[in-house]
Amino acid sequence: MIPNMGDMNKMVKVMIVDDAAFMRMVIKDILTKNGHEVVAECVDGLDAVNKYPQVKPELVFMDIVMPNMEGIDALKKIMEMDPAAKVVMCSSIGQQSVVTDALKTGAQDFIVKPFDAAKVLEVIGKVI
Amino acid sequence: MDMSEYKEIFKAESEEHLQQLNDSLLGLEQNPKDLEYINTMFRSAHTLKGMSATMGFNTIAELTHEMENLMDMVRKSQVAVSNGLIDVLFECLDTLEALVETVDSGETIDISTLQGTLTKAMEGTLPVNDIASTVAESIETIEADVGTELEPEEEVIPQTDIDLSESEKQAIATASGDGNRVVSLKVVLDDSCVLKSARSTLVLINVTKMGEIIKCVPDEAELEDEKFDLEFTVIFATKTTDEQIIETLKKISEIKEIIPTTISETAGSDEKEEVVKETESEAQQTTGSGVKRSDAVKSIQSVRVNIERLDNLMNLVGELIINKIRLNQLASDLNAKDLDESLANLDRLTNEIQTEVMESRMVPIDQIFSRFPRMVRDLAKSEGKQINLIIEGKEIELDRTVLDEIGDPLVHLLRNAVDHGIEPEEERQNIGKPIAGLVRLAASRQRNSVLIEVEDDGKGMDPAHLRDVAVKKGLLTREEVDKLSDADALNLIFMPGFSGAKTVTDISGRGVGMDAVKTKIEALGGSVKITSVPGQGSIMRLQLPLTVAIIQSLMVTVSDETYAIPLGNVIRDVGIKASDIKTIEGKEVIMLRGEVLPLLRLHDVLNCPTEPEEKENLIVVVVEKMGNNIGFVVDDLLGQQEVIIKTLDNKILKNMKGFAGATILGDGSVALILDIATLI
Repeated sequence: MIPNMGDMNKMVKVMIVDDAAFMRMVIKDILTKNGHEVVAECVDGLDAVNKYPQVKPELVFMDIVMPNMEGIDALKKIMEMDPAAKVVMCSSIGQQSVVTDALKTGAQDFIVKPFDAAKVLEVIGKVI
Repeated sequence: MDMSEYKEIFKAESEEHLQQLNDSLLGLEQNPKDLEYINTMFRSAHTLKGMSATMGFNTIAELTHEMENLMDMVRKSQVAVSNGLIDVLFECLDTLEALVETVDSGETIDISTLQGTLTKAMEGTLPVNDIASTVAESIETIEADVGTELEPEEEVIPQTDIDLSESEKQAIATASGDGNRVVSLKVVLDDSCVLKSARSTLVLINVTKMGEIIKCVPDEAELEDEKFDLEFTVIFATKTTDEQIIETLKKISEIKEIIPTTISETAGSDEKEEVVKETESEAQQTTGSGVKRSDAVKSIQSVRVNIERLDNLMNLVGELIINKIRLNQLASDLNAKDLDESLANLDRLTNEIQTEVMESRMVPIDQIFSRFPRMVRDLAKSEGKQINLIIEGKEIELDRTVLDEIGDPLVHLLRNAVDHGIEPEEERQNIGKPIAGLVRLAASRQRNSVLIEVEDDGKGMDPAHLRDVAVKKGLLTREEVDKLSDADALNLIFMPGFSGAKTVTDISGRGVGMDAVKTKIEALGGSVKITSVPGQGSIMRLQLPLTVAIIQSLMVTVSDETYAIPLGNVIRDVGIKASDIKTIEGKEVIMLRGEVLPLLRLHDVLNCPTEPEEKENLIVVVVEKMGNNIGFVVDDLLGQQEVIIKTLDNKILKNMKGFAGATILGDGSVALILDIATLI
């Protein structure tokens, strides 16, 4: 096991994008209970693209399948706005191709549902 | 992680998605070509899958996963939209609904049969190919041993355990000539890694940033197809040191081991082979998701609140109002003018709070209307009828409590409309009606109430037939029914024990009669009215209060007791002279504005023990019951007041007709609230 190089104590400003309030709540609780700040919750890709420049999060958790604008399209738009954006895709089993596509577009990492608190925190530590 | 605290929100959100799935499926059934329905369903199933997996509800996750696969095939035209498919999907939704309901009890439901059906549906026509295998392989295929063991400290030699083609050997030579070294990098993923292919892509992306990939084992297409266990090897040309490589790749999660080995340091030729970038662009083209977006629906910022909390809030507001009234009374008793301004403010504030709390309990009627299209569809199908259901006014809002109560009555009325109202197809054809029957469910806001109409264009009700049934069932004598007007005869169906159906089907024989519908609606302070034209159809009109917990009442006294009459029933109050009272057929009446108003002494109706004093000037409260006006003679009028209904759950009082509940007055005493509908 490679030791974790990220600073786990740093408070990270996170934006959560997921159309399911349930999923947002789960991620949000994991983050806030571990000292991170959720600066925005977005209900779809469009919402995320609109809010990104306003809240300037350090990290974005982006769901993939959403109405109005899919995660992959929102990722592309955000990467255009801010090439240094750090976006982590939230995927389900069976979405290899989309995740691969997202990573090639510039997503930093991905996590797979069901979320495990340790994994989420590990990803934050590594990406930031 | 303890997930139990998320159960409520999980259930609530799952139900929304189930509704969405149902709606979309109904839509798809109507317009099988419109793939937007499939896309919406795909998204809902997908979201449900993620949510249920997070909660650890694996059966739900499994089922939604398979539904998602099936719908993916449908939108790729690998499976056609057929009646069979729609039925399978409806079955899935029903099972899902049942599964969501069992999350509390922990019961298990066997879905293996359904899974078998799903598999058959998927096999129906298909399968062309899955995406991954269509990725063009632009890297030459070379046989290679996957389990290549390379010692980290091992030195040089371009010939590793991996077999290299001539072009690859050349590429290595070229790279070395350009001042690069060539590294063979073995990467081992965590056992827990789920999307291995995506993880390997992330490694390759990062490697590309540091140098140029010459070869992957297994090759990139196989990596994307996840045709590898936990480890893979990348040979690439780079100027980066081993330490930097490790440092960079460590930032990727779910990686267990990174072992770089230098396989070539120097020399080379001029030819270059750029295969990697090509592969990438091809992959990108084939893996883009093809989901079209639905029309933008702006989401509402809202917070979910447990209905229990709202009920508590409502109760507290009730207590607050009672105390406010008590304070007002004290202030007027004490003649404390100084309190006037503060009390006026308190009045305003409590009113505002009350309005806000009531508003927060209002929910769109769509919450129950939305389940009817599916119900009517199933019903019509089982009866072999065609029904067009028209729903109007689903945005109308009602108090949550009222809404909860009217679900069953509406189900019953709709069943009646489909089952007894709409004629069989041949019959409709013979009498020149459109084959498809029309059922209309419409809500509209009246001044202080909501009107819900259930209308059908079926055979209507025949008053003569209803009279016969009432006699046959022994509910009334022939003489009694013959006295009834046609309009009153229609009301016979509300009598306990009356069932209008000539034959009892499995739909109508559910034990909920029209009398139960009427009782329920009236218990809510509403009313039911029927109009029907034989041969043309019937309309049921439900009049419902917007909210139940607080009602405006007219406070009256009878024999020193205070009673509240809901203002909704009150037409007006009038002063009359005892000498103006006339009698018709032994019953007291009075002429009021040219109309005969029957009078009832509330004292007698309530069986008050004390004798009322004889007075010349009498106070009459005119109330409305089912379209008729009746005058109640009361002792005194105390005025208008909003009262909080406390239900009578006491065993004795509960069964007493004529009372809607009780309320606590400003002075702490209890007053009964009269229920005009059952009182007389």
